[in-house]
Amino acid sequence: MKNIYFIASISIILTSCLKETPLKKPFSSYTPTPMSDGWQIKAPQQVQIDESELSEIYENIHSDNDLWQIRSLLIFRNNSLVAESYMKTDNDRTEKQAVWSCTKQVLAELVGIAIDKGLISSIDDSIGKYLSNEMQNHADKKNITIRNLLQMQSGIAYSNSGLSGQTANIQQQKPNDILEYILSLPMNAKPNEVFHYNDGNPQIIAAILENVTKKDLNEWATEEFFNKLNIQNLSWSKYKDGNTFGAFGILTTPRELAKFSQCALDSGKWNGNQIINPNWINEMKSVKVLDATPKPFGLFWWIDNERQIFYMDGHGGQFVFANPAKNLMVVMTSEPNTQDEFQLSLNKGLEIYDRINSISN
Amino acid sequence: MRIIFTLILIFLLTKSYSQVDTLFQKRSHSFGFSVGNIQIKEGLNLGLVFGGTQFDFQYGYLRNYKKYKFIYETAIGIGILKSRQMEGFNIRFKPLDFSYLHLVKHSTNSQFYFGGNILLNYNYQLYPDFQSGQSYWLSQIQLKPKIEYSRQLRKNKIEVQFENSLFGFISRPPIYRDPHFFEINVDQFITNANSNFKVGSFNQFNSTNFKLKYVMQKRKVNYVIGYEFYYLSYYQSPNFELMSHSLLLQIQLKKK
Repeated sequence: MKNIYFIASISIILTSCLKETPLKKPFSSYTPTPMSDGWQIKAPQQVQIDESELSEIYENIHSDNDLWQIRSLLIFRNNSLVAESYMKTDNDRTEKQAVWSCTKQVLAELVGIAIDKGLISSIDDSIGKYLSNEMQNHADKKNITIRNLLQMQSGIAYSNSGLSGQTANIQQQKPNDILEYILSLPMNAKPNEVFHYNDGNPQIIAAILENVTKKDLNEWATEEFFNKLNIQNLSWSKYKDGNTFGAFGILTTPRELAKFSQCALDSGKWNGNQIINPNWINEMKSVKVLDATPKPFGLFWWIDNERQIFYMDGHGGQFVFANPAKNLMVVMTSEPNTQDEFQLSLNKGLEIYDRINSISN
Repeated sequence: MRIIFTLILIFLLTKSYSQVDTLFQKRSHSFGFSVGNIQIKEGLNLGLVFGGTQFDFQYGYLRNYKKYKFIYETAIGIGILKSRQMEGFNIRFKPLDFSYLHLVKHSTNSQFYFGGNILLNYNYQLYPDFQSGQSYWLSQIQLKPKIEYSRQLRKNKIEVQFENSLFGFISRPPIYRDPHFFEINVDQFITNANSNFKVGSFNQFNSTNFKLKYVMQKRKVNYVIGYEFYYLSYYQSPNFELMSHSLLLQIQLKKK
């Protein structure tokens, strides 16, 4: 009898295991929460978005296990926040998260502000004009222009990929000087010839901005841009040498992230105030590299010609899709550190955008 | 694997035995390995459970002296984990597991020991597909009571050991770290795993360890096959759970 009890106890222990917590919470409401962040709030029917179909989309997003990475989905129309829901925790409304390469799109807007202030004469200037000290030992790069960097056509052999790539080395803090590290890389093409998306080009842009403004990039950006967008919840990481990251580094919330795209959607305005020259906005979001992959490319901004939208794109599945014709914006954020096929893909993001676009009349 | 364990246990327990004097064993060195199923639920992983197989290599030293038993064990190993096809890794290093046991009750063919255990153990995880170059860990320094019961079965022996945490120090990652930086260098492993220890007891964590061993006793060598269940739960934020079921295989080299 004792043996039977013993065997039974062992059997119970043997079959015990840990239980997974549900990755997403059930859908309850997409009604936005009022916050003093500058966003007006409107109901879907006020902006010609079908409410019942919108509910169905949110139900699907919350319950679809294939979209387990999604953390938030927000919809804006006519400069107003129409719907928001946070799939994992409502804390994501106010807790900052890495938006990764969406930082590049913000950087492009900052270039426009610098040009407006006369700090940069032209994007067709060579980078040597603004990095004279840094370029002394890098004559092979003297013909690279700011435009080449913004169009990802510098020709610098920088790789974002794998543990042996330059981004991984930077993330492991191996180089002592991030700009010197990038400028020391060889050239694998002439400037203006080959589109090669990488994190090196925006880092050079960030260094140029810090040189011409003579300020910490985040400090200058806060004075000239973020404060004007009423952004209160953003930080920007730096490398160990004190340089602000250019290719990534911004941590913010979905509602704050949307403001950068709203400014672009509104020809450089925010709440009626002109912050960025509209000519620059047009330049930024017009196609400069048609055969870029995965989509045509402007000046750090992506363009989807088929859908007639431009968008921000960050690693892991951080997207802001902007439709100028409908004055519609769709923001989604996802698990930021997933890799490869475990990220929320661009195609899946666009599928969600398409559904929302189809119910926006 | 669990079905195999159960069948082995049923076979051993239904076997009849006669009283045989235990071969008195003063000292022994044991070498062996364990392989088993491990599951880890890291609180910073959104509630995902990463599960897989853990392989550990072990060394142990046993010293019997009159009614006392001193046991030192160390182990090192690696676990290959998965969740939703995403990979993870658990590196385990146990530099110190020391027990001091006192014989409190015995008969001709059974012995019951009670004592204490001090443990230093590191579990260090990487989830490259889910968390890129961020690392996670639970390091523990624990003081625990321990009981051991052994019963002679003819020339062989069954041993049951049970420990449960009482008091200790736990190190865990901070809730927030800058996601733009990796932590995959060896010096970061060492620094992280030994940082920010917090003292606590049942209000912070609990760990339970159960071992069942079948010891085949020969003149100079014992062969051991066993099962180990281990469960650890850390309740503070960021919380952590670990559960493992392992098969143990050891050789004990006896010395006078």
